[in-house]
Amino acid sequence: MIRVENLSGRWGDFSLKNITLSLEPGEYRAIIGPCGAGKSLLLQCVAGLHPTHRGRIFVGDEEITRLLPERRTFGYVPQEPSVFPHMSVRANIAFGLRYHRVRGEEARERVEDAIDLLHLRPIADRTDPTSLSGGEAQKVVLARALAIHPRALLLDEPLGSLDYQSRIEVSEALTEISDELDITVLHITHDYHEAAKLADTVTVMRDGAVMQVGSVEDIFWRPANHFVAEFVGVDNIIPVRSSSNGTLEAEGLTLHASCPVPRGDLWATVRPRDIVLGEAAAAMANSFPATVRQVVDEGFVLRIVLQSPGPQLVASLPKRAALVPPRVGEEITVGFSAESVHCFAGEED
Amino acid sequence: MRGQLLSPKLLVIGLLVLAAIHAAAWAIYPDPGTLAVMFCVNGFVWAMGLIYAGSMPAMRLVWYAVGYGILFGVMVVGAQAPLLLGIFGPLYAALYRTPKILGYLLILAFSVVFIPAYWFQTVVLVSALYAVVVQILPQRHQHFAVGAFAFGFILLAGVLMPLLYLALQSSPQTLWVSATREDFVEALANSFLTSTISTLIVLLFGVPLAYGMARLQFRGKEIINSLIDLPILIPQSVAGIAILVLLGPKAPAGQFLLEHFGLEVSGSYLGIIAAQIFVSSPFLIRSAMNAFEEMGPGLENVSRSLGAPPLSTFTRVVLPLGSGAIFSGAILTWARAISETGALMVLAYRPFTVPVYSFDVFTQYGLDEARPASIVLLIVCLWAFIVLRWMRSSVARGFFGREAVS
Repeated sequence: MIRVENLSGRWGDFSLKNITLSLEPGEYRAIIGPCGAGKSLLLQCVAGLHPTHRGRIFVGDEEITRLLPERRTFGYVPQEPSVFPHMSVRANIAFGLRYHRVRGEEARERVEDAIDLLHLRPIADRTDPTSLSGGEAQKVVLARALAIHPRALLLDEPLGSLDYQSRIEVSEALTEISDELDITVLHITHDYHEAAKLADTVTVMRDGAVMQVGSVEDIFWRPANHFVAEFVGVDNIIPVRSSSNGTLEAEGLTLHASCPVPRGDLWATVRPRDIVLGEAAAAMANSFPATVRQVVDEGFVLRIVLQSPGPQLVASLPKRAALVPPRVGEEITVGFSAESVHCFAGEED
Repeated sequence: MRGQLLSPKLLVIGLLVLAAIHAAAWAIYPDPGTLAVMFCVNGFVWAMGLIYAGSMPAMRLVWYAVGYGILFGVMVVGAQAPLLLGIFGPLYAALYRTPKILGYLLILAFSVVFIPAYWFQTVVLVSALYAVVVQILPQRHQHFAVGAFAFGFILLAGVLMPLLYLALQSSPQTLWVSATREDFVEALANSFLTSTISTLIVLLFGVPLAYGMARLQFRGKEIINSLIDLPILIPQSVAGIAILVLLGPKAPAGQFLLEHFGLEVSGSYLGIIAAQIFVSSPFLIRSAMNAFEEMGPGLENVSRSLGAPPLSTFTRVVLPLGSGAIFSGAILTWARAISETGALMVLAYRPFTVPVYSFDVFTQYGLDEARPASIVLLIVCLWAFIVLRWMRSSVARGFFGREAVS
């Protein structure tokens, strides 16, 4: 649906390095990365709000690289709140219709459809949109973008400026939109939770370059490199070296992994939730004693820092009613399965 | 126990003592009427003091006595005007329970006693300062800011003093006579007409210029940015001379205008408008530019990607959102245009505008004749300014604002 080919350029402090991107029709793609990764810039290039010096952008077979933004028919939602404050809710939603030759009865229908789609009925008659809550306003913005029947939605941190409740509200609306309309969505965010929740596929960017593309499953469970692993919140990233019999040698520890192990210096990851503590751990493929260094109560889970004979590990223990939490200084058996170990090559970030 | 007399016995004793003192004062101040008034005042203050004694802490009673002592000293001993105490004494006693209002009373009293020639202006200015200080005084952490404000207020008072003084210098009859003089009315009409046209022309060109400046980044922008403020820097007479040199009858441009359009810049409406535009344009441009910059390109980008071409985006999004600031800028521009004098004296002494007219009357007939005209212009401009400021908040929004549901 949307195809970006070899997009490069430098604008002020931001740059894009040979970005290639390809979205299937109906795909929900999240682009994640830290601040300054060039995500917004990429989105603005697709929307036509930034000149593209090198590279080409296509929608289907049509090249739109040189097309003015008003001719691209994308539903662009910028980072900052963007309801037109001087127009009523309905006027906001109807804003773009006249430029797409939708008038009169048809326009009215489009507005009402968009209102229904985003469940805006209760606030549809508001004349002063500055009285809307953050979540409501963002839904009006989405309705306005959808009313023109865009070829794709381009969302720049659409939940960024919202409080917790509104985030849930708007992200539910987004899920509903992409399910019901089967519309292609390009969603920029720096929050990997948001990406995991909403997206089908994820692109990880850093310093204007693509670090990894894949399904949510791929990114979170099989990060391609140290940066991606760290960015999506993998806690235990252990430097290891592969041995000839297929095990991974960490400093003072041998790990058994079920994944294919390439040769040489590698990184191994284990999810904190996959780490089992106590007697049940003894029977697992990887099992060793460790000392409890720190226990942090995070509300629903306990985060436990462990000192193994080799590296330091973090385990995460869901709090239950009858749980006896480990004490600091306690010797404890730690274990995890071979399936929970994932490894990849590459430099440290 | 509010309003309860502490003890009737003390009241009677006090009144007797006061009567004795006033009788004794006969020796140094042989004026029975004044002494009678003073006795009444002091008696009243004593009685009120006894009432307060029932409900106030001792310290505040001491201050009550000290305050009255000061008032007495200032009015009777200092100003030798015991009858003033006849007015302020009872007011002081009655208002002591509400110290905030008491403050206004003290300001009034001291202004009348110490600055009798300018008492009204002093009361207005000091009361304004007092009104602010009293609001903020309970916020202890803000005391430095209050001090800074009070110190800086001296400047504002210096600016307002002559205007306040001038405003009270003529009787309403004199004002009416000079306000209805034919040449004054004509000058006033000229002033309003030309400054309004100037403002409209500045709007027509200034808003697009401001928009371009706010949105574009280019080399040399800083230079153009400072050139916009240049007219504020240039002496008005120099501005007038510069325009005259360019467009006057001896210059090629002036000749071209005269021959092809019959337009002459010196001594004409054209000249007045040219001079007013020259001096007043920075205010609008600056204000509009700030508004456009503050707005940022976000909403415009949205409008564009919703399909609106640049011109539609400008008229439907940028202008309505900037209208408040543009209106404010236009008010300042208009005010600057109508008050322009220096350039007009060089460029277009006639037809008269009010500032030049008052100057003309001043040079021909002196201060007494120029005063009423100046006051009328002051009042008219002030009211026009107030009305426009008020319109900025209410009308501007309704006028540019809401867009009908399509």
